[in-house]
Amino acid sequence: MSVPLTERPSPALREWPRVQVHPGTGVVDRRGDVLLVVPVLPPSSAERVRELVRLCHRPDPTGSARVDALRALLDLRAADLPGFALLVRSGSVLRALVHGPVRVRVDGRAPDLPAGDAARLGEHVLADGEWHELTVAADGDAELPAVSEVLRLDLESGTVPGAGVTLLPTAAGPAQQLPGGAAGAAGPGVPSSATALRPAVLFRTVLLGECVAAAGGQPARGARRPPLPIAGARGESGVDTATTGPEVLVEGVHCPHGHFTDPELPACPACGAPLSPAGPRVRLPRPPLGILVTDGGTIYPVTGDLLIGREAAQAPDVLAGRARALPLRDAARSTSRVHARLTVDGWKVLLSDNGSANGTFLSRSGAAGPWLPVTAQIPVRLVHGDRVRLGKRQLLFDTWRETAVSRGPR
Amino acid sequence: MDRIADYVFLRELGRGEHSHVYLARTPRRLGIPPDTVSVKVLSLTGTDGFDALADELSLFAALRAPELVPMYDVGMDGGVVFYAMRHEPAGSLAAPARDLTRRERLRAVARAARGAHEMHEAGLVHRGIAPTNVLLDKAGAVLAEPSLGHLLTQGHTVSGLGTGSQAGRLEFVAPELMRGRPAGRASDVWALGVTLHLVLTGHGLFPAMVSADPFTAVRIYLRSQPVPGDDLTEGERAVVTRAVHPDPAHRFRTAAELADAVEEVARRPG
Repeated sequence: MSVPLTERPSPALREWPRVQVHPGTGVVDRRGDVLLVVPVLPPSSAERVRELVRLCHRPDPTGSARVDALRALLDLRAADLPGFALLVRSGSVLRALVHGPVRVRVDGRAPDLPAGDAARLGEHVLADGEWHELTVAADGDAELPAVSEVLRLDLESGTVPGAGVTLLPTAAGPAQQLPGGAAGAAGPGVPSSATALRPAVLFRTVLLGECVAAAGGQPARGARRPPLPIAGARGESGVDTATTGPEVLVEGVHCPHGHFTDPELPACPACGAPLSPAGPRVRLPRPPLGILVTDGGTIYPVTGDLLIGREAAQAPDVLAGRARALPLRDAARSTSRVHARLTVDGWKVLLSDNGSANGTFLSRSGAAGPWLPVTAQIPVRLVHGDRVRLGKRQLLFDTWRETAVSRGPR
Repeated sequence: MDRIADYVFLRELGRGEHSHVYLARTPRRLGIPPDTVSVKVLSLTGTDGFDALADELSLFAALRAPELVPMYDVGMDGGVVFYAMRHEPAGSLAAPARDLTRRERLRAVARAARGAHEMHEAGLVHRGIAPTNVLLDKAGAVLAEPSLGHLLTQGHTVSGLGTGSQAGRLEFVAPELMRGRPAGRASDVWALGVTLHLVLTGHGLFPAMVSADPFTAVRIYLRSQPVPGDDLTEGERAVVTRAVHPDPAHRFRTAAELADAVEEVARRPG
């Protein structure tokens, strides 16, 4: 991969020291003014290293966003990140940010600056002209691997395997520049490796259909399933039984038309038939208690607890399977990450605020309000037609109560 | 986006609510003759369901029914799920590359119904039958791959209505699904009926839903009966009415029965 270039490097690149890569199995990545060195690459941290490389490749005209992002990543993932050094050129100084067991040596000595520990970034600032050789390697590597001087390479750009780097300032000034086209290993200039390697292909696929046969017939995935039941034959009659939600048994009554419902109600919410409070009670799987419709038009059946918010899918209760997520995208962030909580208790659907920044509000009389605040302490029971406001987003609760056309029982 | 995994994209073919579709060069490892394939890249997050999705697509692809679009490959690249299938340049019933006769439209829906029946017999539900998923080809049409969003997202969503141009998608969702009932033959038959009606008349079964906001649209949908348009023949109307009966047990028992009925209508003169 060593392709000597004959073009003159651009002035910006010329200001950079020469980057000699030590042989090894870590990763050295250079893109523009940023050089990333990961001397040791544990297999378990491959994804984290890809994140680091992506971070280095992100454009950052101010020079501060990248460091901020790095600190944020470190806050979140310090334990998963392997040791690394990130060298950033800004103005006439070189900043070296170090995390974990990585050592930066200046002119053969460790600078008397704190190295990075597990949770923090160590930082060295090196002004131009104050150093002659800078090495980055894994902490504990007493002997630096010998770098071949036969072919003196300079990593100008790209991602290559390596255990560390040695930086040598290039002599400045036009007199030292290469005469056009006269590059050679024996010349005063430095041939450079313009690696433009793509990151290795990292994906997994499963061949399907005729491609399975073409590939030599790997066994088909997934167990063959029985045919679907036919409506009206079994389990798909007019009476609500099967649902896709988790099964919870509740005590209820059957209305005169066979709908299983809340015994406390005066009339069946499905068909409007009056319920007798003395009717026989039965324990059966709870049917869905209604639907929530978002102002974006997505519909969620209410079969169990729901967490509502911008990042509801990441809430611990959702990850643990105790609740489902109702994510509400909101670019303006007027909706909190986990803004409100819907709890299903018996036949009751209860709404409470989850300590949101902008509060949760409820209207029983349409979009015009009045909008009453919902607190975290006192959950409010939702009834048919309630509108809920969470920041700029809204939800509608609907229990399918017949209002216009009666479909009646069948 | 110009590539995913070893697929190099040539151009974008379209986009859906949760996906982008690209025309891509066929990677050699697929071992198939076509130069190009259609690659759908899902924008849904959550890759926990990848194995379930790969199982579902494997079962679908293994049917190799002539009425179902051939699927080649499903994969994940950097947390993004995608799959490759045969490119159908003639478009779909929603956006055909050329004008179709009424009979061609009827036959396309019948083919899609046959494809759905093949799936049902193998225990698979499509969940996404709509004119956009009836892809036209030389033999008439094929049914596109099933809707898989429910496998990737936590919990289940009945429908994304979308806004603007996508409002009206609601009517493809059988009403019993709103009550938490599982999808099955009957809900796919409903969607085939709605598809048939839309491609014959150009409008939906719930005219009042047009231009309603999502809250109102859902209320209208839950509380009104489907109204087939006046511009249907008697035979067409009978098929649509039976396919979209509010009670699942009163619809066509299977998608094959619906296909028979549609083909019968298509054979009649006029």
